[in-house]
Amino acid sequence: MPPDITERSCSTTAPPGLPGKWTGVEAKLVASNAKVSEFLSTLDQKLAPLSLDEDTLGSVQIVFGEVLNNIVEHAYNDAGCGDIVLCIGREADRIVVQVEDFGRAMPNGELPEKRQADLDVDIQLLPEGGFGWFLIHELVENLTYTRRDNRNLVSFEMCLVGNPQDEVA
Amino acid sequence: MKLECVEESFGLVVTVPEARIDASVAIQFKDQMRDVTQDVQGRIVLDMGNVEFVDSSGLGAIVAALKHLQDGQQMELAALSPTVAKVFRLTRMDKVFPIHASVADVAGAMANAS
Repeated sequence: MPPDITERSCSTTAPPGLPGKWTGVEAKLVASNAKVSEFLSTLDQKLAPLSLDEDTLGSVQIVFGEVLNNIVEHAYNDAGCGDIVLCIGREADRIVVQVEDFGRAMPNGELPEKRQADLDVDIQLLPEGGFGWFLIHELVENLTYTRRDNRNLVSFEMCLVGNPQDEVA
Repeated sequence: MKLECVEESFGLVVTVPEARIDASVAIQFKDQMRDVTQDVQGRIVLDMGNVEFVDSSGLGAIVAALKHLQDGQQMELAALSPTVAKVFRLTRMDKVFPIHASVADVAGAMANAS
């Protein structure tokens, strides 16, 4: 039986559309909340080849948590199985990420919008969900979604900390 | 996950022993918060000192705990890691919860006030 989470360096195989000279990490994991949790808890070791700073690693962990758990819950309907393939590369002052799954398409074939919950309400009316896509939109750039051959492909970029983009919030 | 509770002079300190409050433990966390805060009076300080990461499910579970408070109870947070603090700041939940740098800070503020 293959391991639930595998990683390999993919420095010679840049994803389509990216420059040939590219340092990256590819990971494949089973789509369950427990496996996502396990994957993210050792993210700093997995992404060591990219030499990211602590602050950037924190943002990457936040974004990956939301993207991956969204796949677990919606693309694979919490079945606890199905594959997720991640490719994470670093290019100068940014990282480039592609996440692929083989589950259901996004509703209406598009990404959920960025929506900030209204917190100026009575405590009993505070939202307990819906923060995920807001956090993703807030922390990434050039977010795209493509449905192709029964696969979902989400790609985005994140600026490394020190870049003004991250300091605005 | 087993939340640890200690009664202090200023209120109940609930310590999260795990490094993560995420989708895999959010429901468990929510249920345990409900159990340990039952019939407590006054301040409830959630010590997040061991927690390195909270995702949106974990955040939702912490909000659920706030919504479940009874009359006379207040919930505050202490010792957020930089990544956890970022999640609270981006979602503006840092405006909903009183947040302290550490549990010692909560105790210290009490000592100074008296």
